[in-house]
Amino acid sequence: VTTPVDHDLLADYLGGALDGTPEHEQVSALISTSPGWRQAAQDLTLALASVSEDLHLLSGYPEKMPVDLADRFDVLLASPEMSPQPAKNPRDPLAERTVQRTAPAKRQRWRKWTVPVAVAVAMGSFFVLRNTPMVGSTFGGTTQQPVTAERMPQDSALTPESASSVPTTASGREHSRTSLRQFSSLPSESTFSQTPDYASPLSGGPGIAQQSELDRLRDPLALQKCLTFVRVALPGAITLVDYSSFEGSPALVISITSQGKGWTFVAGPSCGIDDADEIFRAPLQ
Amino acid sequence: VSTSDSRSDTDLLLAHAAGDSGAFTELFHRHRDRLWAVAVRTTGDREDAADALQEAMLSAHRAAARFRGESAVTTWLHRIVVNACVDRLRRRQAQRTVPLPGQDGETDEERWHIGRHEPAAPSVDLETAMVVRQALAQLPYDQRVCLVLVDLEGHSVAEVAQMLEVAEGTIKSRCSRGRARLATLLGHLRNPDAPGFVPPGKSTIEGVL
Repeated sequence: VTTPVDHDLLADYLGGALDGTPEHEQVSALISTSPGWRQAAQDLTLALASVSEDLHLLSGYPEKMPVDLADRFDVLLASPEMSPQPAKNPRDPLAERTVQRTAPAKRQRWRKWTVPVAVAVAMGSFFVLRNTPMVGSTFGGTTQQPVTAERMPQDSALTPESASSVPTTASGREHSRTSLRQFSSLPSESTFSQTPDYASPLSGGPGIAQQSELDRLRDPLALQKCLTFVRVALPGAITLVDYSSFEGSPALVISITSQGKGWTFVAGPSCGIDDADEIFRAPLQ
Repeated sequence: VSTSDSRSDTDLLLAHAAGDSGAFTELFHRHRDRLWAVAVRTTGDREDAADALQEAMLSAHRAAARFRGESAVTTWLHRIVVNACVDRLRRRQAQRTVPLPGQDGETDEERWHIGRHEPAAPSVDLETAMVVRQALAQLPYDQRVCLVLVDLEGHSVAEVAQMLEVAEGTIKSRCSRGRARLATLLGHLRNPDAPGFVPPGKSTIEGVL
């Protein structure tokens, strides 16, 4: 009776993974006694020598960071987010936040500037889009620009294309801090469009007035600016944006994966104007 | 890229933790290409590599004060980068529902045919390097990570075991199986799992995949 060659076991044996184990002796015996195992061992030994040469060649091949990415990392490193912060009481970026609604007057004041700022950003983005190779949306959206109104996220990160790659939905759900804490997971992003649905109205909960409060964020550039501020507030990969409602007010409920953990981040309608307009955040249970 | 700073990596990291505004940037510039190589070879994708490296740098930036010098700074950085890459690959694998061409979801048989050597051509070293890189990208990510760190970056098995928090034997096994799989992907060895496989030396006219 011949024992069929177990190629994984043989690879382990030749690679030293079985050293000091009983399997080492067993495989050794099979190679000595079985022509099939012996042939396979000879073949693999020869092949591994070639693989070693190939890997050696690849290791010597320079793998330089592309210039456009290097430039973007320089921007990231120069941002306040990457400044040394030996704070006496450092704020945990993943800590839960309390509700801090932006005053309506402040929103109204900023709304005045939304259109001219959006136009200026769109023009800048158009220029950059024509002259700069695109970088992935997450990276492009997280260049960690200064987070003051005077120093908005860099235009180079703000393009309709980069905004559109974040899955969005308009569930119209009414969320509360209790429901979000108990939310084991948001709907699968695969069930939603990869591009924001700007045409269809929000369904369900929010009324007409509330819809209009989120209208600004249905513009790709405005959404991208908002998400940039959100990433500064809670670094991570944004996996879903839900145009919905939180405790009776219109809000973006955003799913974020940060350091391997899922988070829900709630942003108000002023998100992206001068900050993320953070209302609430909670880790997924 | 500034490389004139003569301070050691450890000194730079400590200086950053103490509030030196340029220290972290200098450290990144010093190791940028190597960190990039680890990220792009581990993820096999430029955009994933950029995202993972960004997450890793943010993480390293925040964690610098906790560096205790138990390993070289480069090892510490590689560990952070690799873990960011692995997290990203795991998420991608978990989220993937529809297989894309050239990505997970292809059958093993399809995978085995990818990236095999073509007849020799000019610039053979560069071409070979590209073929090897493509083949590497076809490996399961746990094997790929180990080969990148051990065979390409020169870390010891013990270091990698510590980085990935698994047993040394596991690293050895992943490396061994990854190399064996590369041998087939690169055409040095026929696919042992292919139907009708006949060991070399006994091949028939159909003996070439």
